Amino acid sequence: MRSEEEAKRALELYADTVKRICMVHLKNQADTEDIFQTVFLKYVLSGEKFENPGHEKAWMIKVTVNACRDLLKSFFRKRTIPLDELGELPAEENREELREVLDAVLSLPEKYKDVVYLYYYEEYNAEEIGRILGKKVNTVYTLLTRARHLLKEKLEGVMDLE
Amino acid sequence: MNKIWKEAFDQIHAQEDLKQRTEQYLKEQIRERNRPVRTGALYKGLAAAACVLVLAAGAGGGYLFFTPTAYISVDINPSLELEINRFDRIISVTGYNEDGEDLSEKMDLKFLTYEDAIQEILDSQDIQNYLDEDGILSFTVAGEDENQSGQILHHVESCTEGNENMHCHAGGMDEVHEAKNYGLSVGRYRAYLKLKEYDASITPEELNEMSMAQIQDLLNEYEKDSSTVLQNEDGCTQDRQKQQEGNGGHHGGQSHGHNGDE
Repeated sequence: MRSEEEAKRALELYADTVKRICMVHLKNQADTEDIFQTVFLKYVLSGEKFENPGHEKAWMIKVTVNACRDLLKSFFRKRTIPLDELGELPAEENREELREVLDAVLSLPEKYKDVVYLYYYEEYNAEEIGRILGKKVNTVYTLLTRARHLLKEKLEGVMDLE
Repeated sequence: MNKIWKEAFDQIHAQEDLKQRTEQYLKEQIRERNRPVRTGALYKGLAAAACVLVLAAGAGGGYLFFTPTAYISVDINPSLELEINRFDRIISVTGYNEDGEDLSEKMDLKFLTYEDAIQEILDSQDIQNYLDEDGILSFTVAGEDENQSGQILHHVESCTEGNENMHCHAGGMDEVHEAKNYGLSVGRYRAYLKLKEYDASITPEELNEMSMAQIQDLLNEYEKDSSTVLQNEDGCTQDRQKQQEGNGGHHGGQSHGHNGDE
């Protein structure tokens, strides 16, 4: 088990990453906090030895994605009333086009959200995404292509996805 | 293109209060798990152990309480057998013939001490009626624990002392088991064995319907005929010796009292 200091360090480093993945998948504050605490507790309890910061970050992402998937699969989660996560964004930063980008990602079917986030924001390549999500590289490419197609429709005029 | 993605997602931050709550939660979890013996687990363990103990004590206590360690057979015309546990309490009353069943239903002897139970029997109107009609009341005590059965016998002796129509005997556990096979109380089983010496045709069923006085009369007749009158003024003592030897005295049904086996 990791120490309190290690837990604090991980929290400082990965809080935003974990929060972003939660935001992509989850629609209310309570679920987000549950997943947030679950992910960091898993980190504290895990005996995983990380070879480098990249390895550690990929592990955090993987655990978060899986935790979100598990929650989404659960019966109770489906019956909760979703809240608009984006409503909490600071007003001055809440530029229309940025909001549209996030809205577009949130409106994607679940299976595309992670690849889009990992590819466009975290800038992982297909092979790395495949490792993190436990999918074949070709599957990642297919998901990316379809997601791009969907986003293009939604973000026509806002940004160029090619 | 990447710039807009960056900007879009960079707007999302984990709020400070969320981070602080999570940090606090992790600290608690780490401290909780680092305790050598968690109090919660300890209490749970103790509670579980206490439950097991209570159940075991209950089961063990129940077993000890409801296991007979001594028997008193009460025979006059009704034939009763009292089962006594190691705590000197009556745990079962069995009527061995019709009159015995009637009497056991009338009297509520269960869970009384054997002293109280014997007093109840001696005081009961039914028993008095039999005694008034020249009945002979016989107590036979048998037990696994010599100390306990010795004490019971001593008590019965003191209760019946001076009553010419009351006898007491010590029996053996082997007799208790054999008597059960014949469907007789120990007192009647011993009488049956004695009568059988003279009349091999007698059956336990016949004997069960006879009063102890009738059995005694019959025995007296046989013994007169065979001129083997056994005079014994201290039958209980002899029986106790036999019991201690582990024999229980198959043929030692000598009576205690003044008009014993005459």
